[in-house]
Amino acid sequence: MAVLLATGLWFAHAASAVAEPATPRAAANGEENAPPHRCASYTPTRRVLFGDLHVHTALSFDANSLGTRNLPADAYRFARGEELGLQPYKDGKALRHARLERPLDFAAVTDHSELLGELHICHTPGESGYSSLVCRIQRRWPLLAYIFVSSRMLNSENPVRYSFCGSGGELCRKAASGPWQTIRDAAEEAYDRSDSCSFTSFVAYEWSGGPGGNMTHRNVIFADERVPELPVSFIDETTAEGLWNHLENDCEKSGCRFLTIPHNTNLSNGMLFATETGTIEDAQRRRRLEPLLEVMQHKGDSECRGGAPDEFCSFEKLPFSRMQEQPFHASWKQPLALSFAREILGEGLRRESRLGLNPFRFGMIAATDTHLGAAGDTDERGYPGHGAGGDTTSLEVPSVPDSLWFNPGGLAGVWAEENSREAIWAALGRREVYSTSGPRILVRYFAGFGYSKEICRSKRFVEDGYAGGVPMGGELHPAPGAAAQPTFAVSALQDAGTASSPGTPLDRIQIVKIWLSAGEVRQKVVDVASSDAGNDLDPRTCEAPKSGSASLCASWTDEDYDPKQSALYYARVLEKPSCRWTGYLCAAVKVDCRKESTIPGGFEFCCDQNIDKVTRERAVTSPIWIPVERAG
Amino acid sequence: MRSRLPTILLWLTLVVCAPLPYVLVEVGRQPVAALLQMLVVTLSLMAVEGSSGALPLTSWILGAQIVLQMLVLALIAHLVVRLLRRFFAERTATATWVVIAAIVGVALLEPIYVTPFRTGGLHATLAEVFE
Repeated sequence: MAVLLATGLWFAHAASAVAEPATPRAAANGEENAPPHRCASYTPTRRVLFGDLHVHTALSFDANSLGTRNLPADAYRFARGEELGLQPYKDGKALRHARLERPLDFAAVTDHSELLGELHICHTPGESGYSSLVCRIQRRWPLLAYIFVSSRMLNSENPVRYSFCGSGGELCRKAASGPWQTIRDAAEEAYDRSDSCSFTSFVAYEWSGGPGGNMTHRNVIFADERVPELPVSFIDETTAEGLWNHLENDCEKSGCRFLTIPHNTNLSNGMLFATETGTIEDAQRRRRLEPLLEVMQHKGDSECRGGAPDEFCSFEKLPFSRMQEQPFHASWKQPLALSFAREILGEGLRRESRLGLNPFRFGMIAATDTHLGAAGDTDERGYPGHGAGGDTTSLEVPSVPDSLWFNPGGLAGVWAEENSREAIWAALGRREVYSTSGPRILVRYFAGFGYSKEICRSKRFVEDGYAGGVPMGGELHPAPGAAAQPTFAVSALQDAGTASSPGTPLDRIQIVKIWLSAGEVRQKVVDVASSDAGNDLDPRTCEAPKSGSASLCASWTDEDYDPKQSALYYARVLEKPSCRWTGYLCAAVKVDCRKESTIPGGFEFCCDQNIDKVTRERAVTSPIWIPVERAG
Repeated sequence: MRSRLPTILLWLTLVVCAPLPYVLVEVGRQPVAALLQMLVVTLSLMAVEGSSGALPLTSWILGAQIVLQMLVLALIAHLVVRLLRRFFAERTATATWVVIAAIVGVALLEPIYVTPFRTGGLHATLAEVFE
């Protein structure tokens, strides 16, 4: 049953975590080797780090075409707390600026690997191809060039490079080494290798497949500075299997380690998880190389399908299934099956019953996918826009910054011993991560077969959580003689926010259960902790609500658990309602829908019921799986 | 038979200067001549690289809008010159030149165009549209 605790209890957990270090069970069991102790702030029971693993800069063809000038080094500087200039520019000076009030702990610049070379050639006088017609168009009408290039290469089932790339595209492929080195150098420069461990960067890029306009995009993240000589693009490898083969071959030579993170399942029409997992080897490979899914970002939320019985699934849902549909309302369609995390997690259980191994066992993170270089800029107040694929006509100052369907994106919360590449990499691999839709909500989530019902009252919540079970992302096996039902312990602390952007109190904690019963995937959502029922948000002022709780904690036992049924459980923490970025804009210009004179041109959406002005920020943890025990 | 020269000159001025709305993924407001320029490069690219991707569709979208807008502008030019003849009779040519000068003047001085496809900003003057 739910137990509500005072705010101070969490701090007691944190304090005890530092004072009484305990080895997390996962590490003790050898599931994951503990990373080397390097940082002054090393915390054996792990601390939360917030970061953004999906960031684009001017090296991405689409961002460049929409006027972004920030480079990878600028994006990392922004992530560390420095100011960033944003388009539009006048006389070389940015007309907009942004700054993170709270720097990120880690980030990865993930520029599109496709067209890295083409863009470099088109902007480097003297390069063979600089004077080609395509490059002339790119410099004169960049957006027009983007339409041509993306339809020919990024959204095509048979991508072909332009003739200026030379025979077999070799010139453009080689030209990509310049910007790739820029990305690597920026990551190296941003990484704090001192023992203060203030910031971690990862060398990364995005492989952006989109056959037929269905996104199969994946971010490729490398563990350290050892990376292949060139990134793999969709033009080189048009399938996920091809990408993994290519990366594995490259990494055999260079000694690199990588993982790929799919995103925008909501725009994939199921294609991201249509990958063949016919054999146990395929399933193992998939599970090893793709331990995470990005479930929330600028282009919508992908946790669960909107309109489902779960009312909280209707959150940041795009009304179309492919980006190409966006300008034409009549063509909007609902995404096909396997376009949302919950559907894919259920499909994983189904395939596990056939194969004996779940190929879709992934943790969940969020990111921004900013195309402005504004890493981690998730505040609903002052959202600067996505910077690609939205509305460029809205770049006027001041005005609506982007498509009304987009949002400021989210962050990845990672539980790691320290802020280093090694520790974060290990956490990503064991899926001890969660997604937030922007606020820095702190969530601890454990499952075990023998937890005390009073675990929430314990000052050793974290130690008990690790000692008696597994954390988010883990796999739970019943110990002989243990209780028949699993217990889930969740503790959440609201984001305190900052003076100019205060946090919103918590509303409730839910556990989402997905299980397989007689071959059918089933799901249920249980409220395990709730605050008061009040909702005192005034959308006219957008002042932070006062109702709700600063912290919530609950332990919940699944009385319906059946060991013959494979199941997974994840936690969702909801804040009280707060203003969405559109709501802040409408409040700033004081729109009163009863008086037409108060509605400025371009702000008609303030009175459009189809556009949300209020949102429900949240954190969604990685699941904990309880597979059916198999003989042998 | 009266000279068609004023109508043709005014029509050409409108083709080069009149800010007309158009749609090509983005919504803009540009002279027909600017769309024509984009159509020419699109067709050139098709000739050089083949008609893959969005090139044929872009050509059709641009071409249809150009034809329609040119016809509308011809009609407007015809009506305006008829009006000028009614009011200025023998001095129609002079009046037409004044109208043309006014249109060009506004187009050169005021950022009346909305150009999402152009490098360097959304709003532009005539010179910036064709820079």
